[in-house]
Amino acid sequence: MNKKYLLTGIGALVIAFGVYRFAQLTTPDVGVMEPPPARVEVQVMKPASVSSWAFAEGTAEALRKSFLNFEQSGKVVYIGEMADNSQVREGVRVFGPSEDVRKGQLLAQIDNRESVADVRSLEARLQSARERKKEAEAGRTRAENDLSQARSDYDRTSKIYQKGVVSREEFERANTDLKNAEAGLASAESSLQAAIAESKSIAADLNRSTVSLEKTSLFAPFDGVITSMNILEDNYYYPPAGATSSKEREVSSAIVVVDDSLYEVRLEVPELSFTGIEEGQTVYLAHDDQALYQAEKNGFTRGEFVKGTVWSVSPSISLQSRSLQVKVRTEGDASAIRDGMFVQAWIATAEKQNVLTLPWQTLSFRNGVPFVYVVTPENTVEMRWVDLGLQGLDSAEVLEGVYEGEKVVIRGQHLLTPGSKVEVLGAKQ
Amino acid sequence: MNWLKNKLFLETLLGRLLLGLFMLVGVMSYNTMVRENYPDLEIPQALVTTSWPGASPEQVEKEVTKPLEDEIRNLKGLKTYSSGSYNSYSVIAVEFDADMPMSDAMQRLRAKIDTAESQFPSTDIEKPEIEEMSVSESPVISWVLHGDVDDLILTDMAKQVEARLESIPSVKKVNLGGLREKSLHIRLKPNKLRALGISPLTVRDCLQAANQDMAWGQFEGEESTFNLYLEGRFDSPEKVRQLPIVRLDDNRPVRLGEIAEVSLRLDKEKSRTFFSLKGSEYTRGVTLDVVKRPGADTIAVIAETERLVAELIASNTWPRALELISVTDDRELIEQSFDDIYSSMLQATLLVFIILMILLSWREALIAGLALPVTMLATLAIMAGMGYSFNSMIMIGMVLALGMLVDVFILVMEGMHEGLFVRKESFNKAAINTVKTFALPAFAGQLTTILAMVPMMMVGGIDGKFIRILPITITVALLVSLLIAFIICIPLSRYMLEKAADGGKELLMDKISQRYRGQLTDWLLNSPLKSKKHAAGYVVGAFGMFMLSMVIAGKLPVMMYQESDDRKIGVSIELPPQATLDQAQAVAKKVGTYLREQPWIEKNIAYIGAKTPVATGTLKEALLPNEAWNQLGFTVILVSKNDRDRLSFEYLDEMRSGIDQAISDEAGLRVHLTHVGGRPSGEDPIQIELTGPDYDELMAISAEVRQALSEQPGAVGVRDNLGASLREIRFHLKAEKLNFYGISESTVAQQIRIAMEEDEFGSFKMEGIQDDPDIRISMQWPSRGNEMGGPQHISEIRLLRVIADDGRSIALSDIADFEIIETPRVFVHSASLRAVTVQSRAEGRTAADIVAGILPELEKMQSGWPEGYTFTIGGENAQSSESFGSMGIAFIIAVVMIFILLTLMFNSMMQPVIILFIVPLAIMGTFIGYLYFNVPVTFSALVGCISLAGIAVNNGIVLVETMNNHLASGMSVKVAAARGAADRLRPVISTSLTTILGLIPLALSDPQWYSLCLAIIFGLMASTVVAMFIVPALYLLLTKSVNPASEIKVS
Repeated sequence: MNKKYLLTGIGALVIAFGVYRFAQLTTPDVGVMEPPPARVEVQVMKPASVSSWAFAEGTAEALRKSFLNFEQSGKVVYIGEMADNSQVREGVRVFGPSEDVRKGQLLAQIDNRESVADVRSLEARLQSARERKKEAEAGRTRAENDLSQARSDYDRTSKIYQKGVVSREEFERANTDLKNAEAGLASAESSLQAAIAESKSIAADLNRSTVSLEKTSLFAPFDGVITSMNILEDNYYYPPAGATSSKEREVSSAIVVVDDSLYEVRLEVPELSFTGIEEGQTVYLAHDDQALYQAEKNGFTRGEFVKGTVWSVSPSISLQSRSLQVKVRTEGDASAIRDGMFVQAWIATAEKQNVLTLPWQTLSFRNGVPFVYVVTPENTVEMRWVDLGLQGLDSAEVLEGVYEGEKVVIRGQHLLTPGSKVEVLGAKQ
Repeated sequence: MNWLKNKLFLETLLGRLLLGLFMLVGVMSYNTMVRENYPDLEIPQALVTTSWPGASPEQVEKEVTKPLEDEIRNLKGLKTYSSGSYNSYSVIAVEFDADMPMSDAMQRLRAKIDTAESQFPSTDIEKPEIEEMSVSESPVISWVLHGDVDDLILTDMAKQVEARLESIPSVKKVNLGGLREKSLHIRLKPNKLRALGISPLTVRDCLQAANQDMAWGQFEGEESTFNLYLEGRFDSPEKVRQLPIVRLDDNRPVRLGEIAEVSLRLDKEKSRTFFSLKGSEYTRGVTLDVVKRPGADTIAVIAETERLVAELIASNTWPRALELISVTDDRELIEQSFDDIYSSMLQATLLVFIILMILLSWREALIAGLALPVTMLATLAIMAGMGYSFNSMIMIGMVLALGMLVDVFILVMEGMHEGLFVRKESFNKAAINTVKTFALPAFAGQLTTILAMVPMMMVGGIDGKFIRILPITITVALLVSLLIAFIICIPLSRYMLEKAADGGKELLMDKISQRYRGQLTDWLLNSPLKSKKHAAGYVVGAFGMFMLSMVIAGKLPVMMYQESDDRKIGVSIELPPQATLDQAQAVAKKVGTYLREQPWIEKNIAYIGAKTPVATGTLKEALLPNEAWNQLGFTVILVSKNDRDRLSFEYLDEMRSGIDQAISDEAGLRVHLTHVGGRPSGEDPIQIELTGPDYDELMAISAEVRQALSEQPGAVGVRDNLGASLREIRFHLKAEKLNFYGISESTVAQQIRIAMEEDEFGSFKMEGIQDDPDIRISMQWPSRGNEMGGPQHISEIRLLRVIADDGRSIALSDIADFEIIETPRVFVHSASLRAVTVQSRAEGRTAADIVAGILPELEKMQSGWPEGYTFTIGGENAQSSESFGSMGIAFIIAVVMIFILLTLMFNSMMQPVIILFIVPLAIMGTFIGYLYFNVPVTFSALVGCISLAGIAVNNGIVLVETMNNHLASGMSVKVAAARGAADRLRPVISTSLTTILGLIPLALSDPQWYSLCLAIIFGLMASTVVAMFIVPALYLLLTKSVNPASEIKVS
């Protein structure tokens, strides 16, 4: 019967196990599983500065620019020379007048032979006039001598005549001689005056001729760079007629000298982006945006750019382009831009210190409204709608929604919903 | 008649011929059949891709996807369709009913698409391309090209190899990974353009006008003719640089070289690939994933690519420094899986043979044992003839059939044994008697099994198609076994049995059954058959057990498919949307270091900037973006199954936590593992589809649902198919301003497009037949320096300018307003509705349980959603309720068919009821067994149950028939019932035992077949035991007593 008990025992065990398994199946899984927290990186909100920018572009022109022209036509006979005996050309630096040098560097001359000949003939005539003056002076002296001779002769003759020593005829003759001598003096005097007048008039002519001789030369008006040379030696030169725009004058002037230390950029700013641009604001200029981008990264401490300020802001909107003209003048080293360069200008329209900022990539949007996730002390996240103020290049000012010292998720927010558990990664920057 | 009898059963000639024939065709089929791991089902599904360069996802959605969807919606035989609308292109995935012929489906689809095409609003929209998809688009072999050479050479060679590999007819396509295409890049300098007032459109037009070749007709001279030909296309970058664009006032031409940088260089880097073999360092290379055409022979494709590659490497033009090696290779996987099944087949055959040795004499066992491989070969040949490939499903089918078909051999051999040695008849007489006695019962027995199989062949859908191979194989095998048993075994046994001397010896089995037969009879007569009340009591008890088992069945865990071992595991990691390629690379390095150190990982490929092909194989995934800088994927190949301790999916947890550890200092990552493991669709089992009109809302809802799902235990890798959303800056042009500046909307749009993208405008001529690189026009962006690419800073958008016709440059911000919103990377539609699918894997808990857990929460959530937002449960649940339903119908049909057959056989309505009563009892055994061994109910378990119905009734038939014979011979119903059961104890046990033992090796080989085999094993065990007393009890209850007077006491 042992067998029977054994069998019964085994049967009972089997049934018990079956009941246990069944109970296992029917007891539902309890509770919810805690999903693993999402790993996020955060930024602790602290005050920083943010600046907003207005972008514009325009052509840089040197503030001082001289279009040099001869005042008369003529053949170019001389092109100025540099210290190394090379001719002046575009790009060379020339000096202007200073304390001790009345005129700047001689840059070019046109043919002045006619004027020289004039001067020479006038000089010859002046010479002869001066000779004649001398002659007249001599004639007057002679006439004066003659007169005094005649006067003394007459006096003596008259005394003798009264004494009757000489004949009346003699006396009359002496009288006539005196009168002749007086007339001779007068004539010598007048011929001297004529000679003086002639000499003066010739000198005046000579002076005039000399001035015109000066007009055939060009001198550097200030320290600067030659940007354009439109004359060649031995070519004939005509003064330009009716050039008005800088562009036209640039190509028609004999020589253009530019002061490359100071530029002015005229920016046409569309009316919409205009708001906030004021006189005196800092402007960064460069030939392309890339240079400005790189400079922005290092806070505009180095790079291929030029600093400037807003010089003037026109209050009226141009009818042609619906834009406002803003003039910018460079400050300091302007070597990164050139005259005539099409430059990009970034105008720092506003800057705020000590405000809360958020990098752009932190912001999520729903229906165009930005929001962020803030990590609570319990390591869950809270969704906050934020109001943005000043918008900088890579961050924006937060007016409302997050507060100083709060942790805002800057990476991993796409995994979050309000209330999600998070694990804040610390070490990584 | 006699002549036929002679020919068929007595003469050996026909038997020998057939034997030879079966062996021959079997061996031939074995050698020539297309081999693959899982059957490459021809499921009519296709991807329709339409590109529209420059269009936004929203535009594509409205103007391309929608008209296409509107047409596709009405397609006949359409099962599902879904779409993805991207920047510049639209993809629509169309799936037809699995049973629709491919060509028919494609034809219909094409016609509809042609209609839709006529409604496209713009001529820029290219013609939709239709690509047929296999169920799995995983590459069959992955090559990696690597070496210390110039990137340009690498690109060129990769292109060459790609072209060569694609020339193989059985290769569908070759996907290149980590390759940078080469193009002639014209990168405009924006400040130059603005300074000179040249519009980018002018540049584009000049370039396109100049870049033309054209035949100018023929000049026919008197003696000779000439063709005139304009050769205008650019063939050197210098020529492009010298192209004059405009002429300034002072007659100075502005050439392209002045306003743009022109160079023939590699495109923007989109992805990188690295590989590591056997724990080695990662090497960078270009991957070439070879995808085969649906239905092509995987092994042949691999062999062909290998041959081509060897040829390429041997050629003179191959750069020495380059290496081309294969990193993953499906052949290995197929062979291994074949080996596995093969070994379980062998084990099963051996076990069956051992049983035969016990049941029969060694000679008979030998004949039956030899008949087994012949049957297998013949089955294989017939399957080949029906156009099937040699896949593991057929092997499984044959292993399943093994235990059932051996019954016929046993039956026949026992008949011969009895005739020759018990009744001492001549061979011929014994043979004819055996045929006469057993032909009908054997046929009937196999027929019930076949009838149970037939409805299963009718099950539709992918699962139906996938599983259908099993019943077909089993049916064929059973029919073949009948043929072989009677026409080959009987005549040919002449050689073995005719002159056998020791035939009369009593067999071991006979001794045992003799001993228990008496005991059983006594017990039956004393207990269940004591009275009708007793009998009824037993029946009611059994029925009660069945009801209990039904209650248990209701509580059992349910899943569609049990995962099986799979050496390929896909790892997908998604970085935050703004991540760069370098950041992805940094993460890849960390994860790679972990993966490399695992001894159970043989090799892996890292895809940086792309998903792994393992994760993108399914139709649904094919819709989603799989190349983006924030994507990172690994294809991990585990070491072979024998070299590791656990099954592949058991490593997933370890792998997940290992990866998690490796990236513990990285924020915002999402990790997802893909393990296909034998599921035909390869999709995530849990899918919750959310539909609604607005994506903003959908994304918020999806986040909510993701949160809820990830709180469910067992839901692993929760994600949605949209991924992280992208920020979009949306512009609205101010018409008045445009009008003031005299600039049109299209000019603005096209200029900005050139500024932002690298669109292709024509191609650049290369020598010979090399691929012509594209000419791409783009803009240099300040934040990118010399690199290629669009703007990186949001503020750069404010620097965007367009150039008016008069040369003025106008800030975009002046003529357009913008707002920032978030949109998904892709607009997914499911059945024409905007949809998001939240999905996850199920680990440690079935998908059904998880869904049941989240359903109440979802319903609660839904009440908070705006009008028009709904959820549907998809994935395995939808699939399983559909498939399980059709299996239920198949089951009922099977039972009805068996009933009809039995009714005809027994000429009675009552007796079939007795026999069919075994079916619920068998199923009771299955479910109770499942309860004890913690087996989930799967699709294949249902297949097992239906098969079980066919097998289990066999015992009943044998029993009832014997009882009828006893009754006819004059015994009382009670005695006939008891004696009938006792007499048939031996054959009933022996047939059940062979079937059960034949299945055990398969059950243990792979979890995928565990539930199927166990369903039959438990069911058969229960039905065998229970049938021994329930059938007599029912027989007593349901049989009208013919002659109640003649009750004879059993001696």
